[in-house]
Amino acid sequence: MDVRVVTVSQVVEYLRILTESDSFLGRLWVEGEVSEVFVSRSAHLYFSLTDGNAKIKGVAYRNVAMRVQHVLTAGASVTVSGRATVYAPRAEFQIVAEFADSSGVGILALEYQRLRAKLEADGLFDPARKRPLPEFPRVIGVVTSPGGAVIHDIQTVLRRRFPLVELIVSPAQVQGAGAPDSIRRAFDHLLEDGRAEVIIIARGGGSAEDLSAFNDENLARMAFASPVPVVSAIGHETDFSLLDDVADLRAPTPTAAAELCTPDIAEFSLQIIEFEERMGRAIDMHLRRAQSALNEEVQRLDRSTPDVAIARCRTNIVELDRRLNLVITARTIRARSALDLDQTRLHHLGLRRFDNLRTDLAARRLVLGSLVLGRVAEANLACQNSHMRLDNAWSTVVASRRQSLLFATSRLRDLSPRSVLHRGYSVLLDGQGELVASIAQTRSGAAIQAIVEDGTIQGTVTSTVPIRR
Amino acid sequence: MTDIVPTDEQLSALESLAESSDFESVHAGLTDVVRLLETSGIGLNHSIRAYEIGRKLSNRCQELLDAAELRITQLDPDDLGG
Repeated sequence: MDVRVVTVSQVVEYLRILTESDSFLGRLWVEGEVSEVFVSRSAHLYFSLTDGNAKIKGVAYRNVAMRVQHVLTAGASVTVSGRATVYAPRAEFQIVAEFADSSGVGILALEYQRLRAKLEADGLFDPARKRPLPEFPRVIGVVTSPGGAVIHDIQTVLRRRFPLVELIVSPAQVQGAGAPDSIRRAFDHLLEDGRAEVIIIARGGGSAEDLSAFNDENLARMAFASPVPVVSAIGHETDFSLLDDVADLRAPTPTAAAELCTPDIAEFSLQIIEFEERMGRAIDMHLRRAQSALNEEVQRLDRSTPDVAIARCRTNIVELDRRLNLVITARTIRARSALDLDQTRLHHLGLRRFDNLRTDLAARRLVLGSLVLGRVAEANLACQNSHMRLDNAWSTVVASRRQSLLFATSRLRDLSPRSVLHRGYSVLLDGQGELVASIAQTRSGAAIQAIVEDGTIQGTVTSTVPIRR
Repeated sequence: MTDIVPTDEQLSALESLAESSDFESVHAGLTDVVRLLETSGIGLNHSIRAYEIGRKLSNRCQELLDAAELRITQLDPDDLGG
């Protein structure tokens, strides 16, 4: 008997592998009441799920916890989706939640929401990834049921709207258990064919279960990876599928999808008419322009007669004359300014010379000054000589005059009455003391007095006798 | 090519589109010719030639539109009912 002893860890690890590889346990939908809710510091949410008889531990890791936290509250009846695992340290069976919602919502709806959240997180719905549809599709691929009304509607629209296109139909089973696989294969056939420039995946209206094939995760990922733009047209306008979210364009119906993928041929017919009109107007414009250019040439030819040529020559001469005047004036102005410049220079030169002269003059003045001083000294000397001579002369004159005066004085003394009196003469005065020089001045009996040298003689006139001549 | 005078080669290339069965190419050629004609810098000779080419292309467009018939291909439904 082969006995093998294993460790506790080995047993727990075996249990974990067994649990995680089980397909049923790998995708669980469990219904129950929430209890023992606990949020860890790292934001993971731990909880228990019970139906009254049994209890399962559960965990929602941080990224999921953010979405389900409001649902997983103590006492709430919920449906939790996730995979089972074994927590090794305690050999504890637990469910790792991926999604949770209040109980009562249908399982399909829950699955749809779970998958939608997952695909959105993977970026499959990113609006920035949506590609534009070709303006002029040459080939349109359609994945749909080959015999239904859908392909008929699409053909009708394309015939009416844009019959230039080629339609490639890739038939698929669009309901039932095999629908998701069938749709994916038909899609793949179209991609392999490679001609389609846009692919429509279409189905008519139906129940939620009927349309659930278009919520297939793999189909969604395939549409996301498609090198060709995908248009979804599932059910009616009110129906929504995951394919709608991933597709480059969602059409409300298959008919609308055909319209959205094609331009309208009627518009082209109108546009071609418009183009023809524009071309007609444009060529008219070019012709008119050429005509007016031609008219202008003719007019120029008319203007080219000899008279015109002579007039033009005349104008030229006037113009040349004007330019000549301009040149002469310019030269004159230039010469004048050159002259002004010379004059200025000359002026400066003159000033310099003047300065020289002034210096020269000052020097001469200095010389002259000293000369003049010499002469003045000489003159002073001469003047002093003259003074001396004058003094001498004056002394001589004074001596001579003094001699004359002595002489005159002596003569004057000789002539004095006193001298006469001395010589024996006397002076006769009347009683009033008046000089008597004539007999007429006296009369007999009048008192008289005669002045002699040593005194007076008083008397009375006895008679007067005139002298005979 | 809307703002420059076309070369003879360019005009010939546009003219050859009148033989094409691809509507998009003929339509694009017609659009170019209309723009070219509406450019004032193009001379009389070129404009007359462009006009003739434009008429050919618009006729060709109309022919293609008139003759258009939806072609339908069906791939093998190898897995239907699977």
